[in-house]
Amino acid sequence: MIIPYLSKASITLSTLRLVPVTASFAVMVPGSAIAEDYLPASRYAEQRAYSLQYPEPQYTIQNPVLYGQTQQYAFLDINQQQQKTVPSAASKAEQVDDDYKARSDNENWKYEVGAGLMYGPAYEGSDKNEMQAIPNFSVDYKNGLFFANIFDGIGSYPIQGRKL
Amino acid sequence: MALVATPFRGENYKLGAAVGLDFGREEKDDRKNLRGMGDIDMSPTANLMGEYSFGSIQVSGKLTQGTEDYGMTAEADLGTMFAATDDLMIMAKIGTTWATEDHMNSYFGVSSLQSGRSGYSRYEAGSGIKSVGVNVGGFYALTDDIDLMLMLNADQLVGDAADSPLTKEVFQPAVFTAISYKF
Repeated sequence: MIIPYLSKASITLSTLRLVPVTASFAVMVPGSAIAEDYLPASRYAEQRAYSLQYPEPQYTIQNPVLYGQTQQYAFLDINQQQQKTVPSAASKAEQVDDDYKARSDNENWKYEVGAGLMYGPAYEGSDKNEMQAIPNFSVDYKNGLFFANIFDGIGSYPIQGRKL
Repeated sequence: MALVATPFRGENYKLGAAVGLDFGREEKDDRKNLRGMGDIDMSPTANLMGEYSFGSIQVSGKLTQGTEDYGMTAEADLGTMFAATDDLMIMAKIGTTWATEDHMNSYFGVSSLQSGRSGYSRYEAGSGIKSVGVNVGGFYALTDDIDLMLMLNADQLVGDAADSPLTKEVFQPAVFTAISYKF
C-alpha cells in the first residue's frame, strides 16, 4: 500500500519487506464487510427469490367485528391477498440480479489514500538512518482480483479458493 | 468494526502476479558509504505471489524478477494477524529473503572498477539467503474510515550480504507509521 515515491533515496529492500505485511492488511480489510455482501450472485439471488416466494406470514387487522359484547379482531393472511401482485419468478430474478450488481459495484471496490513516515537505513546495510515521507494510495477490487498500490504494483490474484 | 477480519468467502489460498518497480540504489542515498559505487538503476519487476492460511497462521511467498541489475529474489514469510480489540489488529511475521548472484553482486558486491573509485576492496557475493527478519505491527481504526498504522521491522543481514564491505551494520531496524483514509 505504501511505497517511497517522493525520493527513491532510501528505498532499501528492508523497506520492501513491509510489502507482504501491508498486502495482507489490504486483504483483511475488504473481507471485513458483512458476509452477506460476498455471497455469490447465484446464491444471493436464490435466497432473495426464496424469501419473495415464501414471505414471513404477515397479519393485518381488518375491520373490528363485534361478537356479542366482546370486541374481537378478524385476522386475515394478507399473503393470500397479495398473491396476484407478486411478480413472476423471472422478473424477480432479474430484479435480484440488478440489486446484486448494484451492490457489488459499490462494495467490491476499495480505495485508500494516506501518508506515512518511515525511519530506517539509507540503504540495505547502511549504518545511516533517515526519515522519509511516504505517500499511500491503493485500489482493490474483490479482494485482490485486481489491485494497484504503491508497494505491490499493479496485479491480480486470479486464483483464490479454499483447500485444507 | 472495520478492522475485524472475516475470511473472504472462507477462502484460504490465493495465487497472483503483478508488475512493480524496484527503486535501486544511488550514491546520493548515503554519500559517505556509497561514494564511488555508482548507481543501481530503477528496475521494473515481474512478481509471482502466493498466500496460504491455516487457522490464524499465514504462509506467503513472493518471487521477484527484475532487470539484470536486480536479478531475482524470493521471499518467504510466516505470520499471524488477530484482533486485539474491536478496533485494533495486531500482526506479527517472520521471514527470509533469498537472492540470485546478480542481485547479490549489484547490492553487496564491489567490482574492480567500483573498488578503484571507492577504496573498498573487491568483493564478490554469491547467491543465497541474504536476510532474515521480524515484523510486528498494529492497525488501529480511528474511525470507520480512518486507519492508523505503526510497524516495526528488523532485518538481520546474513551470509555474503553480511560480509560485504558495504554492509556497515548487519542489524537493520526500521519503524514505519501511516494514516490512511478508506472509501
